Amino acid sequence: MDTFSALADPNRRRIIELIASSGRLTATDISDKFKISAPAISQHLKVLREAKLVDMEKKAQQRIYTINKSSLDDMEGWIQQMKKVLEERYNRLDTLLEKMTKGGEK
Amino acid sequence: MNDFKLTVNKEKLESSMTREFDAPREKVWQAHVDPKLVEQWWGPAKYKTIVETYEPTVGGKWKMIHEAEGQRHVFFGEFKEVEMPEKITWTFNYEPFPNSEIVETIHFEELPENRTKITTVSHYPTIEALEGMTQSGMEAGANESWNRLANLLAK
Repeated sequence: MDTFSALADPNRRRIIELIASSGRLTATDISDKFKISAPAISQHLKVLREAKLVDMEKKAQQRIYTINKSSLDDMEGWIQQMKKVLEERYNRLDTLLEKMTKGGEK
Repeated sequence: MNDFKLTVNKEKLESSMTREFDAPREKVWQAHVDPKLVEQWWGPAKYKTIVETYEPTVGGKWKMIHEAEGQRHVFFGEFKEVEMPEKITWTFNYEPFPNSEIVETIHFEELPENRTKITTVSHYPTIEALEGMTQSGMEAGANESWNRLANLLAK
């Protein structure tokens, strides 16, 4: 799953925020903060790991999760770009309409 | 000023945007149905927009691709209503979100002095699709959680 699909789910975004605010969290720490089941959380973590949004390190019985910062930097850039898409799009339509109106006179 | 407005109604699973243009309605309409014109404005500036399919009749398909620096974003759907020069309804899919088809209606309204207002109402299949789309930056004001996250990561 790509980064954007991985982040389309609000629970997964919440997980990312939790890990980001703590620096590192175990799967149990994360599960404790949610009402949904541990297997469901575990599935979300798997998606996030596959999308390279989080890293996982095994220590004894624990699975410790951290944020993969480089992939989030890419995201942030892309989001900023997306934010401008609609406004840019309509500004370009303005320019085109101006050309059409002038070109189409009489 | 030709202000751009965007509102989101989570209960109705809808987003709505309006924008006015200094051009008569038939020109604005033409810019929406002629693929040669569509490709000149539809995509973001940094991408090359390729209009692969564009059949603005009821049941017609459309497919557009944004390309830049090895990135490729594919959007596609079908025209459901084409009522010249007042209304277009199409379905809208973004390839990475296979189960999030959006139904979008664009209304073209004549204003005095040869101006035109377009209103685009987008209906999302689920709250996740709506949030996914707005969180992806479609709504400028909905980025609080991203800003929070960016701040956290910057610490």
